[in-house]
Amino acid sequence: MRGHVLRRLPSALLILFVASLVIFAVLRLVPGDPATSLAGPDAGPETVAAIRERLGLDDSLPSQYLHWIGGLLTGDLGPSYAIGGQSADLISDGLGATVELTAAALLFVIALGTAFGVLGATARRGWVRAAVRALTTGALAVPPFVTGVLLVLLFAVLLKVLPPGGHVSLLTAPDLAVQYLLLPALCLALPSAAVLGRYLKDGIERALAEDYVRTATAAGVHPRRLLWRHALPNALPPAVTLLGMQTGHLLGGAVLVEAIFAWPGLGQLAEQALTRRDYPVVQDLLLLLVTVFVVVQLITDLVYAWLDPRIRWE
Amino acid sequence: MTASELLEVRGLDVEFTAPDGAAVRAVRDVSFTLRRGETLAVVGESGSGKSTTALALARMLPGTGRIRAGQVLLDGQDLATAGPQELRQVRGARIGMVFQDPMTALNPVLTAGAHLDEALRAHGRGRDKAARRARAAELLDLVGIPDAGARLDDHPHQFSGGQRQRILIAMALAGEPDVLVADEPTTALDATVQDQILTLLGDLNRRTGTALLLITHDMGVVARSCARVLVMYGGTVVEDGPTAEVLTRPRHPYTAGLLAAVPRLSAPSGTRLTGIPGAPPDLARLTEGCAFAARCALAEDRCRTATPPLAPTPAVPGEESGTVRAACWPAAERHEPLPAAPPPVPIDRPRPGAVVLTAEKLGKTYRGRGRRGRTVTALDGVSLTLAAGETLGIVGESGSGKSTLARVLAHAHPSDSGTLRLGGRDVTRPARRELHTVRRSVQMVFQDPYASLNPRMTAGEIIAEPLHAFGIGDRAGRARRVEELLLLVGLEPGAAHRRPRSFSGGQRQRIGIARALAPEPSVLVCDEPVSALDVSVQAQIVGLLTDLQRDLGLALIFIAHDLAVVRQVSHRIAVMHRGRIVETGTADEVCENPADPYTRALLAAAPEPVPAAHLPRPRNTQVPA
Amino acid sequence: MTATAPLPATGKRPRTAPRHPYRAALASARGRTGLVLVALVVLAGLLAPLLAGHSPTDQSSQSLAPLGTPGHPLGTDDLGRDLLARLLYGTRADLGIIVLSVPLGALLGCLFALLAAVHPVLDTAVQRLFDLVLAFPGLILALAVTAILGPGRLPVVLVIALAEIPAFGRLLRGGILVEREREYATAARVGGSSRIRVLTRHILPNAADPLVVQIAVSLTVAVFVEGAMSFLGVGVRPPQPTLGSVLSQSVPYLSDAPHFAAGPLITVTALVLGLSLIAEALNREIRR
Repeated sequence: MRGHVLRRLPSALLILFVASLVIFAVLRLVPGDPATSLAGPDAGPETVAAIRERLGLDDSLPSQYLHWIGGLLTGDLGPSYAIGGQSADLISDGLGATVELTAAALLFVIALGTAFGVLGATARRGWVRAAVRALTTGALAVPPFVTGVLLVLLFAVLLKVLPPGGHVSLLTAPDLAVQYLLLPALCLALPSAAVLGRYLKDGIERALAEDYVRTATAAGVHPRRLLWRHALPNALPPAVTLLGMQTGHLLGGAVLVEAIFAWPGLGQLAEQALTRRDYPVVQDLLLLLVTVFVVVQLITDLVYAWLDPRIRWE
Repeated sequence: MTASELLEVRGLDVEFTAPDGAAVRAVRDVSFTLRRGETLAVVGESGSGKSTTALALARMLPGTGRIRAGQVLLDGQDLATAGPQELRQVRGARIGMVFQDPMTALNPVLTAGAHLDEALRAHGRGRDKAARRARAAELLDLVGIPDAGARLDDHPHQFSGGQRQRILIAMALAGEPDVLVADEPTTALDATVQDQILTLLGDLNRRTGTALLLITHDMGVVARSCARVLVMYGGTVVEDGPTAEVLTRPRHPYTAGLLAAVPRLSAPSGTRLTGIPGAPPDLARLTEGCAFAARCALAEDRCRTATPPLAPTPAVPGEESGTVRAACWPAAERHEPLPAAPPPVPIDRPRPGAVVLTAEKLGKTYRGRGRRGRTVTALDGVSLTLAAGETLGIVGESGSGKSTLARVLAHAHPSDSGTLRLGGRDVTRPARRELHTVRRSVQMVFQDPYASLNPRMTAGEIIAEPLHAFGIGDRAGRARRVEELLLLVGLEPGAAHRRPRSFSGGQRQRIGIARALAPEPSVLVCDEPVSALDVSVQAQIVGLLTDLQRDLGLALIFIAHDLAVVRQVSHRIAVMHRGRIVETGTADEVCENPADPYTRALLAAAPEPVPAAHLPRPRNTQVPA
Repeated sequence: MTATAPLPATGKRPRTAPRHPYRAALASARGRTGLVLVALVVLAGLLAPLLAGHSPTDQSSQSLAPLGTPGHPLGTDDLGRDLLARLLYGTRADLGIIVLSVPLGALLGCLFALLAAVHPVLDTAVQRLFDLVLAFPGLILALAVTAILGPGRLPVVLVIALAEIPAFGRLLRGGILVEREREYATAARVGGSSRIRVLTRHILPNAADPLVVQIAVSLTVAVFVEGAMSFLGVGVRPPQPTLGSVLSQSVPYLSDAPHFAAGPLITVTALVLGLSLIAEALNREIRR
């Protein structure tokens, strides 16, 4: 199994390397000079030149790139251009909130997705299956900004049980924080939960139609055991791969959900940094997101291999 | 019901709902009994209802299937109306089941031990986990898995196909059932492995007294393993009696037709198989009367208007009356049996002419996936020659490289090494233009008549495709040629406008043959052209190929795993094993005086549709070299 | 040709010719519901100039007028603009964006897939390219593209197209790889058909069905991306309305003027649900 992961490592590193190049290059394509916008409209050419000098913008592109990567490897992300403070601090502030949001959403995805999948495939009553089907179709199709607005209308405006937006840290006031967390996490989770649920349902149905389930049925095995011991273990590994991909989607979706619910996470930071041409912050942020994505893929592969004995004993 | 009767099926009717809503009557009015310790075969072609009957016994019908009428009495308990709880107590504990494909019938994520443990647990066999594990090892040992205790922790992919079938048999026996229902248990296996599994089933029946209900399409398997046989056709039982009687003195015309269509290893090369004309009935559109009447040469008017009951037939000379029952009006009055196998009819076939195709030391290696993928040597120095008007039969089991050889000969894949000559020209690695001309003279017929036809095209378009590719004729000329070709392979010209979906398996294979003949090739490579077809249809297609060879002077490569078919159609036979040709010779010589031990093993394992008592020599003696 | 009796050419069952799966899908209950929903939204967008009594950008003195206000049946927004007009023109703008961007993405994706089918080396390159695009979360991609091009209609179209390229590309590449190994493709090669003919006449028609489903799915994704970009403030430039921008402008007034949000909520939901129902109906028929 170690070999299984090691084989995937080079291509993951390659993606990271190319992504860093693309990020670096794209930001240099952005029209406008950060030094000019930083210096302000009234600044003279000397001021701009001084700023350029200080930010290292006069260096050749390769050396700027090497400087950036070198900083990353030594843990020194350097100062932010425009927002102020250290890039690393800004990112770690936002990261906490975003991780809270995506982790909560991931829990929702796993819980709701499994429920949708198992109920949709095995509920004895037809109307339960029909309801699950309708729910997944809806959750899958309707974009998060619509569900977000609907959730706020329902829970914050009509029922007034949850706040419409904002953020309280889990560390300072956990009970309050959960209230603030519920709506955005649910909004973020719903489409992915629907995808997972549908996928799991198809997988369970397919597994239940397999010959080996017929073998077990013929041996007199109880239907409940058919589901938990035969269908689920075979439907899970591909669902785990899907969950890995959905984690990436959650990170992307967080940007939007943060905007709807005024959640001070990386999405907000990214929006701010991009509009203010804060190169270091944008670079670091984008590369961080790509890294997280790639690492999630690697973890997914690991879990898959662990769940599937055909790979485990390769 | 007497004490010795274990299972009694009365008037069983099973229906499915087709996707278009039509009711398909898969099983109609089936009645039979099975005694304790008895071995009973249910034989029939696809669509005969044999598997559905077996699945209905334990109420394991898939999808929309349901029992519409009838009883399944197991020691007096009616399973057709039993509740889920009662059924669970019957499945595994009283009725054990083994299915066709051992490759998919085991859960890939569970070990062999876990499978057996589950089967034991389901019926409370074994006090605790340790006891069950010990019993599981015993069971594996019983079915002949060497080193059973150590292999409990292996996963299914670590066992061979034959071993997996053994594990499945062990699972079916875990609950110590009264009857083992085996649904085509050896169809997915090679002949030599089939032989071992059938021996095992027979041994288990003798040693444990478990009754055996064996579902099969293969008359040879019936002869080999069961004392009594039910013949099914169109969803109903047409004949029921002792195997020795039914296989040698059939009463129902369908049984006789089926026996005549089975290729026999004892029949010499160059004889014709007799197929049954027509195709099986559409179970969604059954009418009153005998289902076989439309294909039956002996049918009378009453056969088409009234369904004959399954009734005892009059005694034939040397037979106690009433041992054989048949569902046939004429048979109920006839006092002599039908012929089991008509005397072989020799075909007038041309003498082989000049050599057209020569292969020398062909080699082909496949690389497995990934950088460390295992390499598989599919062809290892294969040499052969083929003359005009000659049929070269190639036999071998799965993985012997025979399909790869077909593809290399037809230039579907290039070979890695060796040379290939066509009419004296070296065509091993032809340039693009030359390849085009080579392909015109070497065409191929594929195994799977479903997969080898593009579902989006009509039969006419499929047959015209090579004409188009080789620039033969204009639009009207091609249409005329398609008509000619359809007639040549025994289809109506109107078939040109229909898509593959609307044809039966045999008809699709005819379309495949017409496509191959379109560019007027001199060599036709047939890769298992009949192994996906039913026996009665197989005989038609084999007949068609021999006729075409005679009329067009084709050189044929005929690849199959069934030695009997190959012997009948081929002038010469090449036996393949692990990528090599281990023996070549004239067809009769190879089958009667095999030189290679592998050929001898193949011959010994081939089941003949002759009851054991009628076999000329005991099975386990060495074939004289 | 003596012993083989010609088979009757009429097959087992003289059934009525099976309907084309697409038509069967659109005739199913799901397909019809979807079609009606989509048709309503498309009509509203097409007829916007006729149905709307006002320009979508004209401001009146009445801000946040309620439903049923004379002259403003759906009320007005915070700047006093007619909500019916903004809804209709917003729908029109969305439809314009999605019918441009999805086919563009599909076309590029399919071109890449065809390129990948040429040679294993190109295949690897194309695969890595798709991986790279997919490694960027979609909306981050949106932010980056807008950073270069500035906000507006074109970046929205490009972002959607870019995001759809791997979806279509992977689907078609997978389809080609599967169909290429099918026996009928080998049969066509042995039958002398050229590589291009095998691809266009045999492989592509059999690999195309999932792409049709993907188009319906991608249209819903396009609606999502447009709305999301409006919410992030990088979408079509105000004051031009889109469904996403009208909805995002309504968020601060959810408690005081919920009807502000109602129009776009219902329209977006109808459009995406309709498209998903069509996609599902198609998928079911194709898988048969």
